Amino acid sequence: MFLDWGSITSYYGLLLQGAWLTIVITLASFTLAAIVGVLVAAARASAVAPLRWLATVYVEVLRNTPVLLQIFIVFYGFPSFGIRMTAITAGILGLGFNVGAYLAEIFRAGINAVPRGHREAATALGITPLQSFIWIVAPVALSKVFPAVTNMFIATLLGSSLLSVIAVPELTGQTNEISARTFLTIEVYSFSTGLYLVLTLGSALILGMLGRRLFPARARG
Amino acid sequence: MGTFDKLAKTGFAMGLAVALGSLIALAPAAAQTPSTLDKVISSKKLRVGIILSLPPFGMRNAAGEPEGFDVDVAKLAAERLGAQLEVIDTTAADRIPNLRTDKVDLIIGQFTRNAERAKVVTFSNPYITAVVMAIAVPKDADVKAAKDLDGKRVAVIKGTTQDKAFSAAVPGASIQRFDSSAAALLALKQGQVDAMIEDSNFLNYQAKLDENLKVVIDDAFKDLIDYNSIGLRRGDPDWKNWVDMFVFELNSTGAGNALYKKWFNASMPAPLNPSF
Amino acid sequence: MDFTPVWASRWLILDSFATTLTLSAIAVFVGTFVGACVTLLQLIGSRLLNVVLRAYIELFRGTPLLMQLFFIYFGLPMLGLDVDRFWAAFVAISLYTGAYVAEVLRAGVEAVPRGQTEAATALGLGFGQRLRYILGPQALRVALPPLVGVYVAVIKDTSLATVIGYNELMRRGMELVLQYGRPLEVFLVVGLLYFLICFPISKLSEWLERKFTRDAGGTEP
Repeated sequence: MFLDWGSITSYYGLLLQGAWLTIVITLASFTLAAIVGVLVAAARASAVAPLRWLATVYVEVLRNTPVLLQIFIVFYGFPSFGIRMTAITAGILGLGFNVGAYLAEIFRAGINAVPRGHREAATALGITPLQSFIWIVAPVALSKVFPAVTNMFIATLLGSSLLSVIAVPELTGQTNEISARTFLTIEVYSFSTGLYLVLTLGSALILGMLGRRLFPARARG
Repeated sequence: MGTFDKLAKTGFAMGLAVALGSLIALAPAAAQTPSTLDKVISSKKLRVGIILSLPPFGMRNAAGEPEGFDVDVAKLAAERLGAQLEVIDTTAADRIPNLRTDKVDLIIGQFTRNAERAKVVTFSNPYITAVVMAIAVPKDADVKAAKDLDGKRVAVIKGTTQDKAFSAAVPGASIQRFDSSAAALLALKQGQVDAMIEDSNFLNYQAKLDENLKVVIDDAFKDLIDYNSIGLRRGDPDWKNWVDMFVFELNSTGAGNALYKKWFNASMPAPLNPSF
Repeated sequence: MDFTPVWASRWLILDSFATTLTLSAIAVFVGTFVGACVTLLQLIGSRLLNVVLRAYIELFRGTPLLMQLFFIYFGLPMLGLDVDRFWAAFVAISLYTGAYVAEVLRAGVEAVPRGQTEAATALGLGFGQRLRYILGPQALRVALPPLVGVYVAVIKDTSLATVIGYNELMRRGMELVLQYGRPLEVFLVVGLLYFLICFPISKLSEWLERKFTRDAGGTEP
């Protein structure tokens, strides 16, 4: 064995930059996914049948094909339609639309879990449906599915590693590049594995705290 | 004092005996570490790492079989050794890890030799030449030299000579590092990058296949020639000697040039000898 | 759209699809075996063993599969173990799946009220009997739907083995795209093949969930 921990110290900066990009990609993709998720969940609950079908097809197709393929289609396939974007944008779109399909299902389950009485009471009090959704249904629904949303956030973080295959220098891409350049394979992979653990366990910790803060009484609901 | 002297002498003698004993014990052990050469000959199996995403050096035909210039060279080597060839698909970045982790006996994968890499792997004599830095751009692009790529998106392959050299020459370019030449080429064809840097052999061949591409060679880099070699694990002189003899025969009999002609319909961009 | 090149390469595509199916079967069977062993050991568990098993689960659920594949493929040989491409994919995918399976099974076990185990112990039932008659059936009922969900996820994740050069469906797709320059057509066919295996299994998971929720007489998802 020829482990050489000393030599990788000069690459910590690059790896941390990669980790930072991983965080940025994760936040951007997840924000997009949340928006897509709300829209698709709304479409699936819509009274307009074609809208419902479209949303169902979207969810089934995106959840039953590999996200790597979806990223390839956005980056390598879309230019055939004249749609071009940078690798990082393509990656964020691919990942965001994928996670959006999962979030749509999670949101739907959350909304279904809100007792009908809540909404009926709101209507009786003269609150408009939109207001009742925002102030009554959505918070209760979110409190019910918050652990599932947390899991999806971590899945997004892990999924961002796939952007390395379209030349985005996030943590995995940076790790591969440094490994190819310096041959310090085990050393850089170990360090980056540690960074990923910090990121995922850290996210779980922060989101768990946030969940207890936001939904103190209902946390176990 | 006499006692001490005696003790020291006894100690010295004992130390000498132990040292000699271990030398004798170790000597056969050292000799027993078999050369890859013997291993290949006795097992009749030669494992060669080839980049199968680098046409026409390595690719798969319609039947899924590996073919290309590097595959032909590997076939000749296996033939000379009386061994069966096992082609192991690799990428530019994986060449050194594959060698170091004993996944392959040889890397025949357009391996540029340099002092940095020679710290971890051993290189044979060169078997093919190429202009290191060629630029592929869409046919209508107004690119005449490397500096025209300043501010443009340029695809390179992770861990290659081109990455290092181009990044230093045009620091203003937005460099996109791909895992394979194939992925980079697809990005260029689909307009996701403005240019791609690879060696002249690979790009000339691609431009021949796709009329929307052209190859530009910057005058400043024109004399920068790659003498690509076969890569081996370090510390195996017998194996290195055999591979050098194989490469010598390949070059001296004209078999190498014939293969080049077969795949590129041209002569190598620079003679193999002198190789500097 | 021009599917002629794809049709001409149909046997190559099907060949690599078979490889993907093999890898998926390994993930499902070996992964389940690993996960079940981990859960059983956790049930018997000494404190030290539990710490080790917990670390395994967190490590494999907290880092990207892409990273695990690279690490195992290039890292293990440096530690003196000879793994080729197939075994690297085998080990990485099995351990990765095992961690997720263990997590799902644990949730199943925890859903069984502790009082039942205590009551069974009081009645003189041994560990094996408790597992066979009390804990197992109930835990499995809770765990089965998400377990099948994990299977869908790992079948799609076998596509990542492409990064270590394993010649499965996704890699063959990329090769064909380069050869014929028809990214959309090739990606559509590749996507369809993944969909054909994943969609029925997804539906099975949803059906199991509905069935067990109904049988339990509950309304909570």
